[in-house]
Amino acid sequence: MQTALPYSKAIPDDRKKQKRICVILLVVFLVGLLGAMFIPVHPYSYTKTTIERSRDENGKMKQRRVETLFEGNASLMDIIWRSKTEEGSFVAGELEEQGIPAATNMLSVAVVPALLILFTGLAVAFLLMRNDNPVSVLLGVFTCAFGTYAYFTSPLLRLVPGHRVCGVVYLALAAAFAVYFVYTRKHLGLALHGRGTAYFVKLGKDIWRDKWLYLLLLPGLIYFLVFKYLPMWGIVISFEDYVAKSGVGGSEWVGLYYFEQFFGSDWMLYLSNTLILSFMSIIFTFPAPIILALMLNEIRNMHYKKLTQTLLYVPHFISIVIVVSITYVIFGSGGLIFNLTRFLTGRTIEYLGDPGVFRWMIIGQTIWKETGWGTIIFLAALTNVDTQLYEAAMIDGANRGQRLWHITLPAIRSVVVLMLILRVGSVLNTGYEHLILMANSLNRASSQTLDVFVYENGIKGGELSYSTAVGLMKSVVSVILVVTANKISHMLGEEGLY
Amino acid sequence: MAKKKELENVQEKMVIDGRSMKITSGPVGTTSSVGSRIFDVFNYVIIGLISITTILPFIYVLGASFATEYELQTRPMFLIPHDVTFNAYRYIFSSSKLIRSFGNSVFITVCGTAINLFFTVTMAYAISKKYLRGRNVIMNLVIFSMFFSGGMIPSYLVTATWLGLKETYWAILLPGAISAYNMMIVKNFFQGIPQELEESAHLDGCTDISTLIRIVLPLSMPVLATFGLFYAVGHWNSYFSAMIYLTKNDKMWPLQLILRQIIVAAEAAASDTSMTELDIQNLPEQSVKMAVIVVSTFPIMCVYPFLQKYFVKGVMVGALKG
Repeated sequence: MQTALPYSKAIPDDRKKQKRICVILLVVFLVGLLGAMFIPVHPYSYTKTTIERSRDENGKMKQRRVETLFEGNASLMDIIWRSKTEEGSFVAGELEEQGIPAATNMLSVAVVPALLILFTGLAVAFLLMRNDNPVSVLLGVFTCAFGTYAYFTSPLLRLVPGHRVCGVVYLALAAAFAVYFVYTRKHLGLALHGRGTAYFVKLGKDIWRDKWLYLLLLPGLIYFLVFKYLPMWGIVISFEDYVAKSGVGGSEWVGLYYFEQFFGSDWMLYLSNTLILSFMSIIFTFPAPIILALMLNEIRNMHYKKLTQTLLYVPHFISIVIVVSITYVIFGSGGLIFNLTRFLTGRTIEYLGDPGVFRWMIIGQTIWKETGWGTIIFLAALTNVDTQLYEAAMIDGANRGQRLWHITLPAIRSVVVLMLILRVGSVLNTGYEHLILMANSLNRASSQTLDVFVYENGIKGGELSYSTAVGLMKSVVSVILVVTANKISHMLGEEGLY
Repeated sequence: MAKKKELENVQEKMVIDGRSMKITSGPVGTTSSVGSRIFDVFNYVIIGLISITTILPFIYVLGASFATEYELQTRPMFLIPHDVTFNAYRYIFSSSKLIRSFGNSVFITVCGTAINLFFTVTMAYAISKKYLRGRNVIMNLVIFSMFFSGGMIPSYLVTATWLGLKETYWAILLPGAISAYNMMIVKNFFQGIPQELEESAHLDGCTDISTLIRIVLPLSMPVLATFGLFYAVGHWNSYFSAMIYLTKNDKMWPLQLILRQIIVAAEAAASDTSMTELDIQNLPEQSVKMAVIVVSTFPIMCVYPFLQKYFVKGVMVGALKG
């Protein structure tokens, strides 16, 4: 019933050239963006307050606030940076001439040109990649129109020197887009079916035909936008002094203040606790299911295997609250192990309040809970091994160890690499749902990881902006780690995550 | 279709079904060396010990829940108590708190799973159609959200403040309505269903929605059962969202949160040096804690043996199709 979508592919050679142009253009636009952010061209003044201490004749300490006025040009980054710590504003006279209140929101000053430059870059790149697609033309023309309009009329953009030139450039760009589009259609013989109005007619028909599918899609789409993408936008509050009453738009913009505050606190403690726990878990928790799977694989009595597997999978389905509760009643005062150590050594050991024991508790609980379940994926990989390989190896005289080393282990290598990438990507996630159950005031020294910090400061302490900033750093680092680990695995010749 | 066959073959070959006698790096024939035999014995014993370790804590807790407080204090280690008493159970069932929270957990699990399945199936079916305009954009949205998220606080802010769902069950049920990973697997399964079936339904005048209900859903019951179970276990075991969103009214709390309050919070307070003698006396008795653990583990333990193979299948489907 359905045919493939009528996108024509450009000629391959041409496409390569286009790609190169795109990359160059994007780099140019990125440099432009950085320039717009960092070149000090905006007339700006700010006062810096310092406290001067001196003794008067009687030997008494005296404090005096000294306000120094700086006037000159500042870059957009400067303006954002200063707006928290010192009082700054655009030089009033010049602004009032143009009818702008001096205390204009700094954010919009910086963001409008930045977005414009970004959009332009994207539009050009998109047009060059898909010159056969009217959507790219629409995007390009829209961006150019927006740019022209903004540079000629926006009072804020008029602060940028040469704003009229910029507007003219945007006009020229719009013309270039149109010319390029017509040119490619005529001379390169690209993309001539179903374009222009016909394209939109077809699009409309297709959408109407699938109306019920779109209706089915709607709940899920709304879910993703509201519960996944709205929080991503909510990250903005880490750059603001967020107050619930005034909302995201109305709260004061503080730039990187909270990031600085975090690096001014004892952040090394949180980071080192996180990393130590993660690396301990990679060393001890990660190999456990692999070893167990290899051991299970050697069992030939199927009834025994089935029975042990049934038992081994049980803990995975037990709530972490129950796991921790069992730990508490066994290791806590009056519990089995607690009594046993007292009985055997005559000493009492506070297993639950000891920072040194804490990490081993977490590792132990995780191994107990997840090792059995973790074997499934490796056992699945092992079932894909061709049994003829084993027979051939046996005929060649390979013993059990050699068969394991040369056949079994290579068979699960790609799965192991995949799991390792995933694990490395979450090196900064320490499983807060687990940790906050085990953490108490006595083992703080090792239970305070980044996750726990975010929870305790953010949800319990109400410092929403601060903990969002910490959480943001965490997730950015995680994404970078996943991408890097994936790159490395590609370099090693493995499949990787994507 | 061929792919699906292949999948089924692999699943049949799987160790869990107990039919893969040959798949082992051990000797296939009868001849085996002494070293190999010693290894086998060693391996069997170790695996046996590990499996026992997984259930030993449960057995200990079960035994201890029937013991008297005196015995728990004096005997350092036992699995079966000398004096069996039901005092602990009598105590916890006499308070309505635990029974109510049990009901809350059942409610959250049932409603939550229904919501999960509705959202997952509708979205998975829509994006399983390759000809749907805008499908790639939506797929990329979903995949990106698997790698990067706004984080704990912005999510909390959206649910609690901006949507105003705090202190309602919606705050627990809605934010986890779709697991992107599960949805992708269900989508892959839908793509494996022969297109001809749906086309003939269309010719007979079915809309996409009635095709989904009459043709596709009956065919994918096993997959739905598996993911329904995963979602249900997740709901039954979760405590965190209830803890952060239902702060005021502990009559709405699920079982896990009550358990946390009774055991973890109490113990953390006990190890706190600032506690007074009186506070310590008010802590629940050891056997009561044991009994609470038994009661909250009980439902999972009851259904687990019957559902185990569905769980394993779910993981397999995901693992094989990526």
